Amino acid sequence: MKTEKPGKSKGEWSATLPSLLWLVVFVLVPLLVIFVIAFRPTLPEGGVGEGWSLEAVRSLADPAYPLLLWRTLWISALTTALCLGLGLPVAFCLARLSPRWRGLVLLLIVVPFWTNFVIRVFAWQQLLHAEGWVAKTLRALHLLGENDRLLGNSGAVVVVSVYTFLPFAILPLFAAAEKFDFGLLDAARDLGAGAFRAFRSVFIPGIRQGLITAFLVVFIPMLGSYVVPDMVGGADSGMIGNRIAQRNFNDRNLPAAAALSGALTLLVLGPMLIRRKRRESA
Amino acid sequence: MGTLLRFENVTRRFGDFTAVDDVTLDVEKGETFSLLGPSGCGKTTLLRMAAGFDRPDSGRILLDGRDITHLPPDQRPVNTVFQSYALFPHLSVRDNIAFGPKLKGWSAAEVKRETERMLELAALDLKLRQRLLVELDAIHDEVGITFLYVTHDQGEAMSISDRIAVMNRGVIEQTGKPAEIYETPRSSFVAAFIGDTNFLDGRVVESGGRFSRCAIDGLGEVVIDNDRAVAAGEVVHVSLRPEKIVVMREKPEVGADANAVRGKVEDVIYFGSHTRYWVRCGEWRLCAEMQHRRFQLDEKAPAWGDEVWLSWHANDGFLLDRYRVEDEALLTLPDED
Repeated sequence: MKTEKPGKSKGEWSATLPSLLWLVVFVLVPLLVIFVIAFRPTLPEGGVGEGWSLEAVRSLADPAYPLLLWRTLWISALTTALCLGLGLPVAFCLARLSPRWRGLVLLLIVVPFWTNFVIRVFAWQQLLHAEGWVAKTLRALHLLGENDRLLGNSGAVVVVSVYTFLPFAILPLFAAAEKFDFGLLDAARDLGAGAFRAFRSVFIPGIRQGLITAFLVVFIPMLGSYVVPDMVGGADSGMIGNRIAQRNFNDRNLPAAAALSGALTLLVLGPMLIRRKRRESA
Repeated sequence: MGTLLRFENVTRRFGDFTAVDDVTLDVEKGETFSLLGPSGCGKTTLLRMAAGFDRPDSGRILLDGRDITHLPPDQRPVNTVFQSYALFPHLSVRDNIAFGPKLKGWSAAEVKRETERMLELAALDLKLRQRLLVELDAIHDEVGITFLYVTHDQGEAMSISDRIAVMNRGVIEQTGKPAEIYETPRSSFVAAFIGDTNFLDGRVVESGGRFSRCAIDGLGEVVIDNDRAVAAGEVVHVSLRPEKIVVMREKPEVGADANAVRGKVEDVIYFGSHTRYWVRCGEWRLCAEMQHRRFQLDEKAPAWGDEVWLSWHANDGFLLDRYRVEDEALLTLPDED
């Protein structure tokens, strides 16, 4: 009997080749370019010089960066937590709806995608504007002080980011909840668990994979976020993404921008690789 | 023993559909009680309401005399065995067993000890306990708890139940011991859903004390047992089980309290322990079943086209209280030639 050697057969290679090429050309090569640029010297008039230099990498020791990193992390973490917190009950209810209503609600969830993202953030600028109706109403209700602003701070960044990423969190959560056997919740209640306990110790573990996916699709793009903080944030709510953009577009210091980008990439990939290694060895 | 679980005028609707329609039912302490009926008859809805997974739109549910209608499932001393077993996939076998005891507030040591004991028990006689029903029966005998069992399988219901409630379209058609349900069906639905039967309809021509005579169009006059009072001129429906009919080659000697009709065999199905005959008698086609008491090849069994006599005692037919034409569809019939 002919046995295949362990490893990739010809069929497997030809099946994975297109996506492999795609990843190499559009992800791996650009990433390598960024890492290479990070080790190039900066030209005074902007642009990347020849030869090698640790100047850009050394610029990562900027004393302003730890605060920037901390702010990026907490804004991303808070946004992710809010997206999961809001997405979970939505996904739960969605999975329990009749197929007709479910289709309708899903449509409502993806409808915002039909409008350009930047235009939607512009709309938020109007909504949160000091002379906008939201601010006026809150001021009239004395929930907002005369000099308080809704726009131009970290709060606005979190609110608009949650708005932006919520559908991305709901969809994987719903996909997992749809496959969940809701009879298990009955079983847990039957065995003496209260409604919340059953939700926490049976439903949440049951949709674990959906939670992990939702976490990744919100948290990772949030770390590199720069449009939202740029448009609705203020001077004290900039994130790493804004600094990379500033280095790139304003300072024309491409090596410094590349070093920052590379550091961020390693920051994201590092824990994932460690997690994977751990799972493989387990 | 007294009532343990009582459904009192319980109604449950889902939109336009009435799943349970004004049901009143008592389950006695310690008995195995089955809810039997086709899918959509409301039996599962009743069970879910007993467990607390669903609530009636009107009516009450009482457990030991206490109103539990609005009590959540975790606060009811009622436990459900799920059809799909409902094992928690994210937990180990051990943790699945420990799930309930932990919630009940057992100490960690107690949970560990009892979990170990259960696992040992499960391993001891795996072969004997392969079937859940056997297991449930053992639990029932051991601890004497009350079982409310839901099934669409009449054989299963008959074999394990002390009493059965036959349900159809949200109502209980009849409640009783398995033999009562089988031998004295009150409605055409019960007669046809449990086992097979023949429905005969005719007009009473002469009503007597114990027996009455009844004219059946296209068959002739037959004698029926007055399972309930009948008056001359009344239209009656009789359920006659196939195994109650005796198939013979010669005309049997029957008294005034028995019937004999002549017919021609149209279909024969051999089942090993018994044979089924469909016999054309006038305008009727009757189903009869014969047990094989002797080695069948020694007998000369009736075959297709044979002339035979069918006989049955008046007691063997049962007078129905309610008859609906559509229940005839539940009967098994061979293809018409």
